[in-house]
Amino acid sequence: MYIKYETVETARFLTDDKRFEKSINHTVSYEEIWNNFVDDITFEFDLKTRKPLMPKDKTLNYTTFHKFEKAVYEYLEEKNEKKYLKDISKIALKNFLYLLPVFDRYSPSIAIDSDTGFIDTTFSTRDNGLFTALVTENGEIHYSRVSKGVKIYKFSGVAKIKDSRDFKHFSKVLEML
Amino acid sequence: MSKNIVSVVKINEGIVSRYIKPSFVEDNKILNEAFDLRDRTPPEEFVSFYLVKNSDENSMYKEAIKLLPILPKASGVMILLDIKESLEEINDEVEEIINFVDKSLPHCGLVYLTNNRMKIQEAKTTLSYLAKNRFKLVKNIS
Repeated sequence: MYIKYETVETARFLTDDKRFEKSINHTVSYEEIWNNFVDDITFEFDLKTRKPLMPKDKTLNYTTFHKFEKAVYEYLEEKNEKKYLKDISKIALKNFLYLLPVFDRYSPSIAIDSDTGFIDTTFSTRDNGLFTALVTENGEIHYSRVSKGVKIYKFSGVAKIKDSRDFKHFSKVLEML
Repeated sequence: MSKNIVSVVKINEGIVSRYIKPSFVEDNKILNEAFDLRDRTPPEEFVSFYLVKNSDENSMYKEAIKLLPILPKASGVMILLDIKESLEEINDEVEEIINFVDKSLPHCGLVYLTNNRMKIQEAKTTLSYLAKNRFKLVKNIS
């Protein structure tokens, strides 16, 4: 994961009696920059131009973001032919993007689940197994880890996130990778 | 009033093949979407497979290509799954989660028997895991 974008906001405060003015430099965390970006994002996909979702003046750069855009456009192309495929859930897209900084550390594969319109991610585990996580639109993330010891064993479950700023805590689940 | 009686013949053993398009294969991983119900006009109810004769691995891949109704892309892959193993690994709860059924053999279908999203996610991940150890690029099948 790398982020080139960095901003320093200068916050100016006036005291009540207005005799003093002081300014402080307040560094906004990368996390908050990203979350603010996701808060405001609107999904305008254009199959003809493949217009990037990331504005040119933003240089926040996650490898997974490019994979995400590619997965979405590939799905939209397929849906162009197969009209019956589920629409992509824009809420699920947004939830996925809140998770993206956490996912980006592990370089997952990304695809759209055509049965639900949600976002599916696939990771390799350290013991040559697979971990998948389906990001839904209601804050649930359905995950499953499958690997082999003496026999095949699995850890599966549902993470339930109620506030967008809590998606980062899914990193605790990803520790099992 | 007459009732339509649909008989379902389960397939409990044998080797089945499935063609996976290139976008569902990445870094030697078969993605879960390879097992979505996306191939045909809905309501699609099964994931298509072809039963191949159990012989040496290379012959099974070659037969799998011949059975396909479409021309596969060279960068796609063909997977082989052992039905018995898949059923044992996925149906590991009281209620069955998947079945393989006869769709006019050698064509057969994998059917999800639950609507539980988490169980389906686990089933697809298990299928992907089993497939990742037994697949071959179409261009390498000869």
